[in-house]
Amino acid sequence: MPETSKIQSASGISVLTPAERQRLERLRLAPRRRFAGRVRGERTSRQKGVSIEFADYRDYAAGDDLRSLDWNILARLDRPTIRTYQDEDDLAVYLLLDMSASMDFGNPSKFHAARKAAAAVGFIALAGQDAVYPIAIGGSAEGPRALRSRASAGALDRWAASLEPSGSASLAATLSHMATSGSMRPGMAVCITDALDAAAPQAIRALGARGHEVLVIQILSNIEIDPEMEGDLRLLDSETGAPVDITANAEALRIYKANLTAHCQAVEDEAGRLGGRYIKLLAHQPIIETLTHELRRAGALQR
Amino acid sequence: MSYLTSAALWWLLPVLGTIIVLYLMKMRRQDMRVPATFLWPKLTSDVRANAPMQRLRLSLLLILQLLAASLIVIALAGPLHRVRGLAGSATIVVLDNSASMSATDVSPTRFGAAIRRVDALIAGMSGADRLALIDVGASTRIVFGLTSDKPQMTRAMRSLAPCDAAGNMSEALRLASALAMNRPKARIVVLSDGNFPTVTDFSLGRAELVYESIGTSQKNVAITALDSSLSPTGQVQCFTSVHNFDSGPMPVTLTFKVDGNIADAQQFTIPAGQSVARTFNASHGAHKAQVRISAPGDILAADDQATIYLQGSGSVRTLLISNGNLFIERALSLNPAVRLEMAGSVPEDERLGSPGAGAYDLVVFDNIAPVPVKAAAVWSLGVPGQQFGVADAGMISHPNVLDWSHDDPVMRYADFRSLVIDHAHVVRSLRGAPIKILATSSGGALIVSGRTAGRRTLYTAWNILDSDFPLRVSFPVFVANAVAWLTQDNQRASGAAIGLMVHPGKPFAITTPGGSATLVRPDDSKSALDASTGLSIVRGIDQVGEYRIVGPETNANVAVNLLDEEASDVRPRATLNLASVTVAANKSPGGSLSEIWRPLILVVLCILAAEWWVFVRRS
Repeated sequence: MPETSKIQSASGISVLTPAERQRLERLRLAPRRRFAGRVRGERTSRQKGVSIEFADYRDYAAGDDLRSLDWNILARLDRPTIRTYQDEDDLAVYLLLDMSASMDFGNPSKFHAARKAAAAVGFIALAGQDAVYPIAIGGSAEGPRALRSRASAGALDRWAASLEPSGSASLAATLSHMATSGSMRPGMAVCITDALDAAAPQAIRALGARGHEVLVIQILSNIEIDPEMEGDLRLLDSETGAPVDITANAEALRIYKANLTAHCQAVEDEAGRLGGRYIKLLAHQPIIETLTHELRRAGALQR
Repeated sequence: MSYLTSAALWWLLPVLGTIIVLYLMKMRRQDMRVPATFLWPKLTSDVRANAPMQRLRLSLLLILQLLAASLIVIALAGPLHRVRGLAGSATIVVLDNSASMSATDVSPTRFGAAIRRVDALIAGMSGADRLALIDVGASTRIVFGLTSDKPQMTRAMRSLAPCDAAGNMSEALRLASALAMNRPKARIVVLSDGNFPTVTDFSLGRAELVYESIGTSQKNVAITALDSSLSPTGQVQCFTSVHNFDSGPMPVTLTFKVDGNIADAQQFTIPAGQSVARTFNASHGAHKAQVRISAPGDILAADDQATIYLQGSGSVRTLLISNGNLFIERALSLNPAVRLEMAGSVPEDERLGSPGAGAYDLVVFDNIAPVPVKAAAVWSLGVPGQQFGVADAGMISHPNVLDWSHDDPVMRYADFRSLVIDHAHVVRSLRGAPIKILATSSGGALIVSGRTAGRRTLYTAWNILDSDFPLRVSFPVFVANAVAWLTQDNQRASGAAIGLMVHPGKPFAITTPGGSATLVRPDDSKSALDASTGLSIVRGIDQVGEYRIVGPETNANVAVNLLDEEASDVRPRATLNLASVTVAANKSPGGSLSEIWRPLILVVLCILAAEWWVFVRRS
């Protein structure tokens, strides 16, 4: 199967281009902490003296260590399959992609940028033999349970490409529910969102309280940074529909910008307080370049 | 505040109502979907309304708009504001500076209050205003012409001083009218108590006349007459009359001084509007008599004192040429100054000579044709002669005295009203003759005085026996006046100090031999008189008091007394009667109506600018 066909989305459009994949495949996530792995990976385990133990099969992906190739299965089924073991920890990377309606703003939309950022971070994690758990926050589409190795990059791409922002669920409520559900082992929670929820800092705090290392990638668009509006307006919340009457004058805009700055700062502070990281992207910027630059600047990528 | 069209104010109701109704309408806002609303402040300011209805909320914009709309409507109504300043392009102020303006019922005096008023007018002048000031005192003078130069006005105002003379308001108004001619919106402002004779020969033209009455009281008691005569016993008798001009009785204390010493003092009460006459005796040889009155609350001091210099006794040698006239003979003989002799004709040695060369000071021709005499004074009754400087105008029957010179020394205190004369030999003046017509009838002059070739002459056109004149009180007064005036030069020549009594502001002539003379005022200030011709014209004696004129060969005392009933009647007049116009006093002085829509519009513009600023700031 050609490589390109694996990374085609359901609609035939790839979220990441080959060039972008090539640029990302040498990068590795650099969590601040070590987490106990569930399957064999490339990261040093905190658990000493554990013997090699078969854990699972998975499809071969280009770049996988050929020593783990199960030749018998290849001979019988003509399908390259990799055996995985638990003696090397994998990192659980939770891709939490905000699907709320507020993401569907801006030109290009914030969701477009978020989808690409999610695919990029997921690809980096897969390239590092980490376990990627793609989760659409507030979305109805069920994502794959766990993705491992580069071979899962196509699945990740398809998942990302299949999403459309429509959710009306609150970001904070969804994250809080996930944090308290108990089904997630500790790992790196990459929350890709606009965080335009008044309770976003509390939700991030709840996520961190479960032992996850939080990486918040906040994506904003121009209409939020510098809204162009004037006159007497009734603002309707894109998620709740709640109206707010305003007179969009200089004073109102000044207060709005101050509130936005304070809110973003609160989100960043909360992430920092949990030992996590926070980066901010603008939807109209080149996402891959900006993302890698910001991740590297934040120390979220290995050097 | 008044309005040109006050009905326009009704527009306030619909205009303000419309604005309020617009504010009662709710705002229809445009819906806009945003990612999140919690970041937006609930900051609304309703600057527009386009949907009904809501509860009226007070806002700054509403107040500013109501205010601006109200001011616009008021400006359209043409508001008029009473201003203390000027409201015409040219304002001529006529400042009454007569004796009554020295009354103290207004602080400090009526004149002082008028000066303050002029100062206020000057201070209230705007750039286009012009102001002129006419001072109506002893003479009428323009203090400053129409100008807007305030420093010049202030400098000129310093020359103003109160005066006790009677002003010529008629002349002043004519002058003011001339200044106002051809000037649009010209105003003539009369600052006065209205105490002057009715002005008849005056045309206001297109100018507006404003009469600002100054004064509040009429509480005044005045000395209105003072005279002296010698009694047959050789004593000097002084006669004085005191009049109460107030509307209620006034207690008066009268003090009579002779040569500075109190000779008598009396207290009495004068009923409202009444006069009280008193007679005092002074010893023979007394020089000066003074009468002073005091009354509580009296507001005019100028008429509370009068001085008279007493004449010598029997100094006038008089020859009466008559066929027998008991009345004139009696009147002359009772005059203490007269030493009377009578004859049927003029003695030969008294005829034809230089004035004063004869034995007599005065020759009186009683209904006998006068002939040239040496005496320095000649009086003819009933028959004219060439030496009187008149021409015969013929006999007329039943002449009526139409007018006479009240102020002339000969006519003083004499009343010629309703005088019955059977027939009179009237005259007319010769061209260039130095005579003065003292009384006239419809047919010609009845009484004529003259000064020709060093001689004083008096002509009375009727035989007193052909009239009821001898039966009148005025007759002995007239005779005494005539003798005093005719022999005045003779008294001066005697070398004794001359005593004169004049009214303030009236110029007079006095012989001043020696080439120089000095006027010494009551405050001892001095001014030189022009005595180069031997005769000085004395002017500028504007205030009552005792003056002196001294020189190498001159020694004269001048008593300046008000003695003027019109001047002492200080009652402020409510109206001015000017020719055919009656002008009511302005009850709110300092007022002239000025349109103020311009400043109103400026205020409206400022309010609209503020309203726009608030609107822009809010939207």
